[in-house]
Amino acid sequence: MNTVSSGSRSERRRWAGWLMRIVRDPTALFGILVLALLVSAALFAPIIAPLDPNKQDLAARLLPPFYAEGGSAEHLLGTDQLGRDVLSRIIHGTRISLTIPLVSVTLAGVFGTAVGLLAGYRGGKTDAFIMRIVDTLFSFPGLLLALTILAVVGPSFWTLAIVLSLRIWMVFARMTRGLVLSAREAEYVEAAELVGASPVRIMLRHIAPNLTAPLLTLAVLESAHVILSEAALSFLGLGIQPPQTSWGLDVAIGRQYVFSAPWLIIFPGLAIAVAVLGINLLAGWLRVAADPQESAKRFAAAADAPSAWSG
Amino acid sequence: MGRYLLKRLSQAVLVVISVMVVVFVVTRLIGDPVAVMLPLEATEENRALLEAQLGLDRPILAQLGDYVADAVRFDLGDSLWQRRPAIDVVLERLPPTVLLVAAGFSFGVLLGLVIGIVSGMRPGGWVDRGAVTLGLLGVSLPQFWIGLVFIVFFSVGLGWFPTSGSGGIEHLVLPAVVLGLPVVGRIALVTRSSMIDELNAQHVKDATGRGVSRSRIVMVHALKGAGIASITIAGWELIGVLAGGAVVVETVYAWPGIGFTAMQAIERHDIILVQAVVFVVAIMVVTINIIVDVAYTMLDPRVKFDRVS
Repeated sequence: MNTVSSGSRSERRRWAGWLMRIVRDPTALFGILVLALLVSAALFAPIIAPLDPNKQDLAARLLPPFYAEGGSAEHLLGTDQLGRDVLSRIIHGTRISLTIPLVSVTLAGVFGTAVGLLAGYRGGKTDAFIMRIVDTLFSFPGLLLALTILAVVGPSFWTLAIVLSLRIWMVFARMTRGLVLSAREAEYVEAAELVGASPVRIMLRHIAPNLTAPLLTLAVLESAHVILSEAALSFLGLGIQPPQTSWGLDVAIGRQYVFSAPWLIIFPGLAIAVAVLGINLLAGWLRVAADPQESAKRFAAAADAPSAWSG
Repeated sequence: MGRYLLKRLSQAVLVVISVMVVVFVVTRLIGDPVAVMLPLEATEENRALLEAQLGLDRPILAQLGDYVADAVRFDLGDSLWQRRPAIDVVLERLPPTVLLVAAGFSFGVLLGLVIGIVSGMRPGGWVDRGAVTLGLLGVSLPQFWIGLVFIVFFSVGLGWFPTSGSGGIEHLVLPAVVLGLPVVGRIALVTRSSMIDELNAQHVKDATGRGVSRSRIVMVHALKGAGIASITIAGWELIGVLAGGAVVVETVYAWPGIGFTAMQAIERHDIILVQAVVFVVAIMVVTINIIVDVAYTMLDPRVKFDRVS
């Protein structure tokens, strides 16, 4: 990743090389396909979805999916207690499931990386102070505290996105600091310092390239965590609120009909599971691809980065 | 050792106090506790009465000081819903949570270790592939969903277990398994990864060269290294189970622990009771952190007490 490309042709060849590596690896291919499916579902939801996700049809309440007796092709995955089309709701739900992690991880990534750069580069007391705060935040009771904050402040898209980003920025700060510290000890950085390169130049030219791949991998991995947390919080009634649609919210609605209409929980939950699995696989593959030492353990990657939470 | 523990304990107290300060700032400054607690049709007099009752009409710093001072003495105020000290309600609901967390966590760690060791011994084989897939599923499936799917299959479909509530061991099985699933996944993946590292490490190769048997190598050398790696992550997992998973799983199965209580309190706008749950969980989390650090230091001779910050 540290090679400096000399022109658009070698750049293109490098991209082609990455593409070939993805296609050859079934787990990476699955991850990429899931992500592509999610992104296109989110972008073109109104076109792809057969019906309006909020259109009620009381004559067609609690219809089973197509494979069950009484199911029809009109509502492939059945309808809920208000006659809304489950498939259309799942397709529209991708929008929340992708925008929440996009916003949260971007906020957390930018802030956490900046804090980590500051700690790692300044060192000394600044570093000790910042890392003390980071360590303290790691000991916070994650999901429970998020629930409390959302209950008091009131759940909405933005409060949810901010609360979720507050829970993960430390992961980025800690990783950035570690990377900066080890990069600073590298001989080429010492050499640059000796010949009098400015701190900004050292930062951008010699240290930043070492951060890109691991931080991107971390961002992908954290996106999977954020999707799970958003779903859990929406399920508990403290995340996305109607009339917006979210997979976790739909599972919560279907919970009352768990005995009579299990498809109301099965399919939205399956959507969450496939999305998270795909992103986890992609994160795992990215980590291996960016680090040759990891190649021997290729399948182990997705989950052993310590994270601030689970949920 | 004594000085180290003292240092860690003072840090732990600091963490609990900062959690409570965050909760205070959020509830009193960003949110409007009176508006959250009172029904929509409440009058101005109702508001003023509740504000005076809760001491919200006093200067904010005086409130914060009293709040922290009271919390340190385990006084978190009366629950609005139950009309008795909130801390009593939480301590009463604590045993079911401890039971559930202990069962789910032990299930997760034990199964995760077994899967991780077995798959780490022969990486790339079909057992390994199956184990890795299982591990990935464990960390990818949403717990609340698996909980409901288990109810559909095992309770409604097969009738093996009750759908919710508590009582006998049959009530504990489903929630404990669901709570432990992500733990199985992550412990398995980490153990497997460090097993592979250990089996490739020089001291293990030397042992093989000296003619030490394979089973002895796995049992003595590789397991020790893998155990150290797993302990750190196990601490994280226990914290995740306690502060996250338990709330979700208890709510799905109506398990009468503190997570379910927190959700009931939120539904009833009982902010004081929610704060008490957060307080107790924060204390448990920092305690687990200290235990993990000490265990880690004792197991790994490379780490010295004074070096751990």
